[in-house]
Amino acid sequence: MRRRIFIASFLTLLLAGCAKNPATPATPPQVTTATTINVLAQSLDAAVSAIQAAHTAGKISDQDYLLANGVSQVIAQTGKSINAELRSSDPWATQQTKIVQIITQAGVTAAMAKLSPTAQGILAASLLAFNQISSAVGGPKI
Amino acid sequence: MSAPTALGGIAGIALAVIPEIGAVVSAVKALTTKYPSLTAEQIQSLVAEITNTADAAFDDVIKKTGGS
Repeated sequence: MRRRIFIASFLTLLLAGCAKNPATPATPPQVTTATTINVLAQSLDAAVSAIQAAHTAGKISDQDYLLANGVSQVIAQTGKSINAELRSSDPWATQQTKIVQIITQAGVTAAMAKLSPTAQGILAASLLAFNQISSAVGGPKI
Repeated sequence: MSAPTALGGIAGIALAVIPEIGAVVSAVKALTTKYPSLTAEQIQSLVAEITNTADAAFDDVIKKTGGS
């Protein structure tokens, strides 16, 4: 009887140990991309407010302010286009291809290059999120 | 030997030797199916919810920057 209890205890501990780390399914790539888009949207919204504040405080010029607003609009429109594609019924492989096209055609790199270091710094978090999205779909680094 | 194969082997021996182990094996199997994969509909619904939230923020950006 004691032997049976010992074996039962041993096997229980062994099986419980094996079950402690059940394989959790990977997050679907569409969900990961959508979540990163949301991070981009929230950070861009905050950045635009920061740019307005910097402009009011005289830390960035009128020209830089207009350029930064233009870049923000381009990123926002690009994000909305990506979101529309993510909501489509296309399979993920097609969505990936279309999202890469959307990012490539957006021209964010060229627009960012015209900004002052101060404005670029304010938009840095948004650019980082944008690059994460591009990387997730196999697109270029902005 | 892979972990599932080893687990299956151990469970088989355990079931043959001690009947009480059956309940433990069932509990372990239940644990392994605790996190089922999302269905296509669930993924679509989740993506729609997240992207709608993001679109609201993008619309706010466009409004603040004088876009249309």
